[in-house]
Amino acid sequence: MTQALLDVRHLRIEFPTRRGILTAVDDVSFEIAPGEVLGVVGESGAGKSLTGAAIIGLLEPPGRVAAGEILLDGMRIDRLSHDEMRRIRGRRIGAIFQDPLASLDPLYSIGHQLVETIRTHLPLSESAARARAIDLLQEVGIPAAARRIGHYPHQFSGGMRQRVVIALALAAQPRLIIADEPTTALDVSIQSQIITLLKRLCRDHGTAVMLITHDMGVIAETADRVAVMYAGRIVEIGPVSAVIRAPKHPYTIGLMGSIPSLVGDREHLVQIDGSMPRLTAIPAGCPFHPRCSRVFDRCLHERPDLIDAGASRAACWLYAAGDRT
Amino acid sequence: MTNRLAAALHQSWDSDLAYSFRHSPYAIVAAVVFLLCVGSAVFAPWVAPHNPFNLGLLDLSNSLKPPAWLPGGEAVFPLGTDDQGRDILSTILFGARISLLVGICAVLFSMVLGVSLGLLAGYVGGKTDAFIMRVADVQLSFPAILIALLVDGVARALLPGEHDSMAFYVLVLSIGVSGWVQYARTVRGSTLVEKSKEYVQAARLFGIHPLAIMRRHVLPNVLGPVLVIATIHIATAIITEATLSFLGVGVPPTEPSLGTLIRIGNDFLFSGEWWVTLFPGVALVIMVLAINLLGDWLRDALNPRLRT
Amino acid sequence: MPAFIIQRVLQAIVVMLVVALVAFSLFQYVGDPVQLMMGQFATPEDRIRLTHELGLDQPFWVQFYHFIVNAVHGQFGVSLRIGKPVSVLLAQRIPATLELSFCAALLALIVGIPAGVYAGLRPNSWLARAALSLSLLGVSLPTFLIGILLILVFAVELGWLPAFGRGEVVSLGWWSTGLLTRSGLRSLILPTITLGLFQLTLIMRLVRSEMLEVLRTDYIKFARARGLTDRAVNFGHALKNTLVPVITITGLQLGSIIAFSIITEQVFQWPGMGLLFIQAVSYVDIPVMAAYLCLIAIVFVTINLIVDLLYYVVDPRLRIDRPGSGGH
Repeated sequence: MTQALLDVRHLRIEFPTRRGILTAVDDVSFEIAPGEVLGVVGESGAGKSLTGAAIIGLLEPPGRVAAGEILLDGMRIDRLSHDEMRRIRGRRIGAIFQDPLASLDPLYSIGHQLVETIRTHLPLSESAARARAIDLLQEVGIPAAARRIGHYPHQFSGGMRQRVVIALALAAQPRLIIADEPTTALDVSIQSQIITLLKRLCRDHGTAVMLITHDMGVIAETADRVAVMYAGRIVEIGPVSAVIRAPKHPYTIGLMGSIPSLVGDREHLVQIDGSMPRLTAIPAGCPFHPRCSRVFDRCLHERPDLIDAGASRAACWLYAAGDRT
Repeated sequence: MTNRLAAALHQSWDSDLAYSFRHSPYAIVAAVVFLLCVGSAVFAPWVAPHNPFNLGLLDLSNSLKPPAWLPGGEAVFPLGTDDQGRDILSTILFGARISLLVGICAVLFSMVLGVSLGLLAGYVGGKTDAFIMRVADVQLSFPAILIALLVDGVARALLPGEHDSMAFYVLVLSIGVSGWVQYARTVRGSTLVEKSKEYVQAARLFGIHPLAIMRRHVLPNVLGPVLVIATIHIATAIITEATLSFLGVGVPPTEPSLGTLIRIGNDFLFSGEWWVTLFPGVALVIMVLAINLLGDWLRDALNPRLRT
Repeated sequence: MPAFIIQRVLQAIVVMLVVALVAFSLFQYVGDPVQLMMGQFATPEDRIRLTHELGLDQPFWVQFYHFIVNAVHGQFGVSLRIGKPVSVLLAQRIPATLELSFCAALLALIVGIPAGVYAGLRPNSWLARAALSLSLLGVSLPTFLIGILLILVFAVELGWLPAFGRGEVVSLGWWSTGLLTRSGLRSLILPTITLGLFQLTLIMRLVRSEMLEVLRTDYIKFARARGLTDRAVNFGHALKNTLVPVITITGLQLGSIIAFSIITEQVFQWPGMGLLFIQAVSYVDIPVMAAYLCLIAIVFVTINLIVDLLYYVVDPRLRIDRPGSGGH
């Protein structure tokens, strides 16, 4: 078995606040294989973005990684020095954020920003870097790249800008990209184009992607595997087809049932009662138990780890070997 | 009734604002100092050891005595006396009174003027808005002190001879006029935001009077930033008044503010009687510093983005 | 691009006209214009002649027009207090004020901007915290008090530096400069610090807070995510974005240095325009007041215009405002 590209083990992210220590991400573990697309889905506040930020080393204080390990190609990267981490960013791990206009410095042309990124990581001359920048722009589908390379961010439309952002993220050929809600800020008609682009580029370059989103449709189209997060934990993880067609965890079942479907009949959309608990009031035992239709005694006291359940794994006592009282 | 009051007090004690206050040593010290200043200024006639403005009590043989801890000083005049024999400590207390009064009145004037114009500009929009904002822009390109000087100068020219008795009102007017723009801009911005909200549009459809809408919906949202601006503005206003008085176009020596006192004392700097100008100066700085600290704390405490 | 500039220039002209109107009103309605123009020793025949010349029997707008024409030629009448033509007095005094203002501005920028940048990059260092506390003090100290304190310490107690006047000046054509003599330079020190300290503090606090804001933006986050060096992130991206709004405000502040010089000149008896103006206000010397007003207005309007142009040059968003063509 090939070694995992990214290996996250028992990651815990804490925020010290005046009300005590808040645990925003609690004992999260997963792997990403080289070239694989892992979708991370969940509601706002479930901890997806924080996990991504921690992996690339951009977690903002006062948040901090309190426990766990993050390994890239078998090497720990969560305790590196500032400069060592900087060298990994862009070159080995890249990132894309939600708002393409806000992600680009308005005062510099996109050509300048591209060349700057390329030359930071690769030993190329100015003209070689520029040529490469033009190639990248063409690859992401910017027409008349050679002419538009001198243009400024505000001269591009939203979809074009996100393409530029993708080009920038791929400029130094990282092996993993963390894409945090890359299509949320875009028009619906453009979303699928960008997703298709991302998928194609990563396939062509062999880049793995951690695709963070709350949109299950995007996951269905793009990801190989998916992790469902709830209240700072992963509640289900497995191949996309398995999780979508045969969800195991009650939360995932609820999620799938709440998505309108154009095919088949669904009489009414499922609604999960209640809402995700706030970080200050996470229930004991399984954090989903107050809203779960299949709750039983064990759920109230013991917190489940991920348990094998068919093709995927779910953190639910329903799938524990042994009796279910 | 008292239960509700107690509950409200308890809730505000527990609020983010109060928490932030309790945990900021600067804010607490500043607040204490400020309250002391206000208290001693308000109660000056009772707190001051002497009444420096009762001409009958002044004795020129007491003039220019140094502070009590220096040779030649007397304990009855703890900070020394000026050239007329007035006790410096007492003049400071009465002077602080004037300084604070002018500052607060000027800020109130500015606030009322600015908030009204801002509401008007934001709510009515169109040409009224454009006009008001143009005037604001133009005024902003000139420093406040210059505008204050101008208004003051014109007033002097228009009221020859009566100037001294009107000095207070002229000062409040000139400082007030020079400072309304910051309020107007902030309030206008908030008004524009609120105006486009659906509940305001619904209220308009119902025929509720615009004034009522502005009072109940826009004003509460605007209160926080206006308060921050006002606090820092009090400090600026006090400094402006002191500057104008120092320049000789502010409060006259008959009822001197701290600025006037400093100006009077300046003449004695070179002959070695430094205390006449220094102590009023120190008092001014302490007062303004306390207000600035409070304003800074208030601004950080009300800024949602800085909250941890 | 031209539309932007033309609009600004038009606005500038309007402002100038408004100020001229105010100054003219001062002339007309406060005091006697004939006397203001001629001084106290005019004979009755001169008065009648001047009244007709001035067109005081003419409608308001005609007189206003004449006023402007005169103003453009530098004719503001005779100072009530000194008896000399206002334009001559002003010309004498301008170099002193400009030199002082320039030095103070230089001080404020050279110390203020780097200090602000440092405090923005390392906000928790003791140096930054100390600077911030001191800056709070700086904002709470009125300019005149700073001057008095400096005089007290350096002139009265220590006797190192002079407390008033400009020292020896050297004439270069109609300009007189104190920069070429030792006593001139020594006299410049305390007033420069007094005038510049407040602006320095303001600039430092402004740069610091802008820097902190910018460092929180998404594009800085993305720049870091791309692995750019600290230098590229902090100075290439953050600093440049910080300086854009700082330019406007700094420009306006520097303009206000000229206004604040009034105070400093009073404290140090510095023979500049500001001192002249203060004496005029006390004396209700209308011609000087009106002239100073117009002059100051020109200075401010010019500074504002230059700042607007600078903004235009520095921020590409203002230059090209249509998104380019090309599909999605």
